[in-house]
Amino acid sequence: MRTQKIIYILSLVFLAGVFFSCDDFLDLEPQQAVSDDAIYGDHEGVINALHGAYSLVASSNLYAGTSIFHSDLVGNSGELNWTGTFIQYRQWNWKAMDPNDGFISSKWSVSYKAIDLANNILHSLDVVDEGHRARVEGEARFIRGILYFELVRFYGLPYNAGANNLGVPLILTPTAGITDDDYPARATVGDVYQQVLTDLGEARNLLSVVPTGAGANGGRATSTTAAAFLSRVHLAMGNWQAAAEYADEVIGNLGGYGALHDNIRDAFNNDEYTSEDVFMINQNATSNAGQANAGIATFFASLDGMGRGDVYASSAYFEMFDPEDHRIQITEDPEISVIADVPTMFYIGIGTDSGNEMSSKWGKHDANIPVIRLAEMILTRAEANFRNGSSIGADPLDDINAIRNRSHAGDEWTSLTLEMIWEERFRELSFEGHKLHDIRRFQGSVVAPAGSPWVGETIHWDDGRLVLPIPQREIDVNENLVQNEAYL
Amino acid sequence: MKRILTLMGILLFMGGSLFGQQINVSGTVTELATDETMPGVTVMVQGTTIGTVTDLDGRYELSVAPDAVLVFSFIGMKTREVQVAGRNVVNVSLEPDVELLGEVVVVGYGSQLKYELTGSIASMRAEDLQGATMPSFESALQGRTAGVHISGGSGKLGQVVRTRIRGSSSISASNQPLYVIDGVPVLSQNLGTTGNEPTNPLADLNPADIESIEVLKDASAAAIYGSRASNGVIIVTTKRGREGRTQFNVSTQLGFSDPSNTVGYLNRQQYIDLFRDAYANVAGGPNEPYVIWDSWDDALDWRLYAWRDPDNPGDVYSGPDVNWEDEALRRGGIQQFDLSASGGSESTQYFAALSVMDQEAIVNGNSFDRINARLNLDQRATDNLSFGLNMSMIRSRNFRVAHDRAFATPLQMIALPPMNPIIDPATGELNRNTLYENGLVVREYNNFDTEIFRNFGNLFADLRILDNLNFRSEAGVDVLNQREMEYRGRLTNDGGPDGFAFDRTVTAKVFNLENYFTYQQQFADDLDLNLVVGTSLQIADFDFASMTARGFPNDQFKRIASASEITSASSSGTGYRYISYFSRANLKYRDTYLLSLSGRMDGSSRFGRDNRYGFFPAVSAGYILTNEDFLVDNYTVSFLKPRVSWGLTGNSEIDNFASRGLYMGSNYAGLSGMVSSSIPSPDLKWETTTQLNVGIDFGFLNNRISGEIDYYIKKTSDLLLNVQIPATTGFTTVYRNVGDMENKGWEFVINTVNLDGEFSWNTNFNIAFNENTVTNLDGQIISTGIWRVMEGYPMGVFYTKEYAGVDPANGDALFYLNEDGDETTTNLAAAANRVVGDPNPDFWGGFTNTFRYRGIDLSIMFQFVYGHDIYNHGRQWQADGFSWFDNQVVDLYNDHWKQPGDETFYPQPRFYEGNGYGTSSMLIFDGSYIRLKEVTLGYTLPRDLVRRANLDNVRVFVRAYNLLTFTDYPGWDPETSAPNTADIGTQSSNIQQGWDFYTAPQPRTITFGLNMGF
Repeated sequence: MRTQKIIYILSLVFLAGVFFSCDDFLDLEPQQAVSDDAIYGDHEGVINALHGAYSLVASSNLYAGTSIFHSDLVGNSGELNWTGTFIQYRQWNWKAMDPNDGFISSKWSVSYKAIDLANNILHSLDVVDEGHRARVEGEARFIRGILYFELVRFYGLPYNAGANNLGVPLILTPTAGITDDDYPARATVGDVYQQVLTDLGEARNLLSVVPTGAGANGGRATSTTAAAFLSRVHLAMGNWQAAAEYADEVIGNLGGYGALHDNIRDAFNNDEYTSEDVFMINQNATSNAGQANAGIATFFASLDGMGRGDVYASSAYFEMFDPEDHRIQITEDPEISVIADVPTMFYIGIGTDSGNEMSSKWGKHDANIPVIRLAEMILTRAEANFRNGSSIGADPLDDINAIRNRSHAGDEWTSLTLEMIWEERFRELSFEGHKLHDIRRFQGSVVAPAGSPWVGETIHWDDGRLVLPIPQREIDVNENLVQNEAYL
Repeated sequence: MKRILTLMGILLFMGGSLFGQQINVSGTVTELATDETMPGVTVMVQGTTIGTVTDLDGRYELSVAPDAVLVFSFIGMKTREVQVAGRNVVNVSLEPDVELLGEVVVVGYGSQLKYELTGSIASMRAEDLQGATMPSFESALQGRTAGVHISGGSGKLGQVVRTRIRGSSSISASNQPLYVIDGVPVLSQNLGTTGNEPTNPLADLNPADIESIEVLKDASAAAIYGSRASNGVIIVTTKRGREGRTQFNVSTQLGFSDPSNTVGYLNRQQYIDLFRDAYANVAGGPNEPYVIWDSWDDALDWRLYAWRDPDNPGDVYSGPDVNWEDEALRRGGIQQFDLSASGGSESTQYFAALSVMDQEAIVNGNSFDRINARLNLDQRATDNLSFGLNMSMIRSRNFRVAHDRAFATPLQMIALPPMNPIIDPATGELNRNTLYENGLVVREYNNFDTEIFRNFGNLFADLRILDNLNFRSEAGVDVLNQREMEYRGRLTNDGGPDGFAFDRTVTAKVFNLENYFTYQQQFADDLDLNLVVGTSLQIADFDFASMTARGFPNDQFKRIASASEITSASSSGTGYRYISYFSRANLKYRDTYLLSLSGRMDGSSRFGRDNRYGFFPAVSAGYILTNEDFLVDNYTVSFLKPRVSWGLTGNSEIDNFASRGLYMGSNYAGLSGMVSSSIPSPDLKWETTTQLNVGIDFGFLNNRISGEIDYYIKKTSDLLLNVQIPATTGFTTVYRNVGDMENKGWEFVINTVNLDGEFSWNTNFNIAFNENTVTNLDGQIISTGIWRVMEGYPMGVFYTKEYAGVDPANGDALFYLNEDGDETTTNLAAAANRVVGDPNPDFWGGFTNTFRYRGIDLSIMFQFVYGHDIYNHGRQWQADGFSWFDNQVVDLYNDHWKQPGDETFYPQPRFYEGNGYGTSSMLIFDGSYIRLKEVTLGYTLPRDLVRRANLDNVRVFVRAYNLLTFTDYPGWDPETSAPNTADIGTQSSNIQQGWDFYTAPQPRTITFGLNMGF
């Protein structure tokens, strides 16, 4: 009978298993993600989305990488050398970009992902604690504004080539399910610029609730940073008066010439905001754009275990300076290991692709990345005033000399031309992503280098070949999008 | 169990019994080929129910009529009928049944006689796996199973093996089959870090433990696994003990392996000559200035460290001349030791095995070892209840190298110019100033060790409720603990300046519970019913934790405790669940008409709430013509069974939370945040495959010629597609059920017994043709790199610029300008994209000949694949005519344009500018090949001899893999699968077939083995 008892008990156990089932069994929740409806339901969720949007702005396809050297490579006429293996970057330098370029499509898709987050945040402001509402709206508008500015000036012809040219699609509402409305056409350059002005203008007003000055609001957007971008935008639009006024506001908020470091080298590779920083991308050891295949220092540095040494200055570059200029002094010392060992703005590379003249601006993969420096604002005020025939805040000559004197660039200048202002901008801001945009504003040109399909050809500022292609995947997916003419 | 079934089968055929004068007859049953005695052979008196079974020494004794006929039968052997003819001693030897139609095959939730099958199942027996040295057992299916296309990873060990049964049936979901080991669906997906190539958890199973492998190919066979069966099911059954004295088996193998192929790169003199030309071609002369260089050797001085001979710097031909291919590849080795014991009493049977294996890859720096222990136990507790256990404990270690696309991978060493010395003349240490990172430095200072502890097994019980009603319950677990530890030394690019460590653990737990009833009933003497009804549930949980750190005091300290800075730390988890109800009815009428009906209802946590359950029915029928009166006992047509099947299967192998709209954590320099990662798709459901299979099993001339022919049409609809959407939405893809795909093809299997008797010669030939077409994508175009999925084309065709060859007038590389037409351009960017190749094979198969003479056995297997193209991505740099300083293939050196009128494959080399540099069909080659995959020569020592040493049997053998390869493919190996860091089940891995990117060749391995039984 023992046997039968065993059978009886075992049968019960197994039969319990047979009929073990209920629908809850299949309700499994993810462990490191949350459902989208939970995010925008409360204050904390919206704040998380806001920080998430910053993390995208800080990605290697935007301000922590290609937004900077994209401009410098496309705008390069031989003052810097690109010798890396990435075919995409070589093509940028050739002014022969590929619509299938993964970096070009990532810049697009990451920007729009951050814009969608910003749109969601702006749509959910009513759940944000009242005391934070203005700040959160201001920061979201700031992010949306600077990203549309970034998109329109890379993927569209410059504003001064015509406001009716095609810009980028303007998406101002959150995505909820995919409908026909999610297949937008491109707005005009002018419309996108207007939206950028609206967003940044609103941001500047709304963010008056937080302190201003370098590094305020946790290093995120403030009314000063919004004003700094407004000055950039107006400069690109040719609104000289407004550009000078906003630049002047920023310079005032940071403390004038006195906030410039005595040594320009101190403005780079910092882990904290310094007096000269208007807006930086915050990075640290666990949160940075990378050091193997992405991130700006990866391509610019040639140090011990840091950088691929892909971008470096050519002799043509150094010829544009006074030999005593601090901005071209070179450290040649095989004993250096990290960028902190380099006191000058250049060093002879000691890591991968060693032996070349490397810029010290980008030498540490997890240092903060200055996006707007006070020096840029001073140069902008000078240029805008000069073009406007005004002296808002300062005389253009004083501004330019303030920049030159700090780097011992030679005798003080006593008169100015537009050409001189441009050249000074180049000397001060090279490798910081201004090259292409300045060429367009000053209506200059670039020369295609060896290897380019148009080798030796002079390509003018408004040439379509300097505009990025709309990513091919976007063209394939959305029939309402029109490709840029140079890529048809 | 099998024996009982056979016995029952035999009993069924028996009529009354004979009476009369009886004599005693006894004898020994032996196996013809080996002369070994055979225990357990059923000996029946024909036409009676009188019978017995041979004992441990193969002896039997019976009392029979003098004119009786004895029938000797044993699973897998030909049944023999012998006239007693008044004798008292009747010794009989049995030979293997060549067609094995009486063979029992394992199907899901039960087993079936092969000749009664109505579905399409390919099987493999233990003997084909004996002495297998591939780390992962599924490699053995290659060339042996029709319709199963296997492409082994590469010369790296423990890599994922790409397995396609009857083509790819999905674009975004996995195309790998479901693996079921002893009834438990096991983990077969990659669990390695995304920073390296996917690993293969199936390498944890010891091939020597396997009794049989069944591949369920058509819908009727696979549909019992419902939503997971669209890619076919591979069922593995491990060995079990049999009643009898303990049999020990010891086997040991020792061998070595070499690269099956080398490509050949330029030596110093060739490099210099070609480089000088390439420079002169752009500069206007070798000593003319160009860009930043003054002359050709100035460019080399600028970029190549220590390339000149220090004693004779003026002589450019003298100095370092390194063959870097020889440094990247090496001679590897294999050691393997297996010990097993099996046997048992009437109530308890066991199989216990221990295996130790250690392999060194042909890729410098890579090795793999594994220890396996297994215990399979069966216990009859009472007349009605039996239970048992299968338990396997494994430790495997893979000492890995970087993935193929990393600069640190050993094969990238071939990019280094031969003039880059291995040893830095200035320091006497390994040269760290090579063109790209010196792989030998990486080899010296970096390690990437993956260690797995795994336990799979199950506990089962069989309860006989009634004579014909059985209940079985199986509780299975698959627990996998994986540890990955990587250290990158201070002197390497990825580890500098002060060391980098990566540490990751994965715990995967799969719990599986199956309960089912089996009911057998015969109606009206000639209608047999076999009914299975049951449920199944599966819970899978995965936990991951990882950490990276930098800043080590020196390279002796490799653990994170010594690091100065933690650069990232993360832990995460995921999981999925299934719950299922299934049933199958097999009907047999008059032993001639066969019908099978099955259905499975599956629910999965992966789908949208409204579409959680799917139903997967199948039906199949067969007609054993040779059991009809007009054909029975026909010698010429000995077996003929047409069969047809139809059924639905599903595929649910997508991301665990694919139907949800989700946000993931993303921090901004210390501020925690979240970003959107997917957009909701609440209607997401199964991908469904309808498969129609028509086949015939045949045997002619008393089954000396036998085989199978199958034709199938497999239509997949509601593809689980990662649909591209405009990125302006903030998302780039959404999972939707969109599109259709079709596979159709033929499979032929022919087995022949060419010679029988003392000298025997058997041949197996199998070939499968498959045509894959994406029939509907709702206008979508899916592209990944140069691969594209487009309506009307096979999956993942190569879509890029088409190379039009070299302009004989000036050496320019030409490309076709438009989508069609012959107009050409030198501007690669301006050329239109075209479909230029297809990585899917047209047909593939194997051809095996087995010879036996006395104790000698010889088996020769060829395996072939035809019609697949390969993207030799590495040639973009290995044959770019010095667009940079990378070393070049000898092919280019021998076949490039030099002067007007030259007709060559490669254009004029042009330093820095390149000439046709970029992605085009110049990099695409036909990968068809035929390979002498396996040759085994064995010798079984005469029994008398081994008896004297108290042994049962001794066999020595030598076995060679990949001995010869016939192909036009110019790369390392035409058997290449995507060396991609993407998981094997993902869309990019599905699409990116035929990708050769510095991918190591398969090893040519020769092993010597010894097998002893006692």
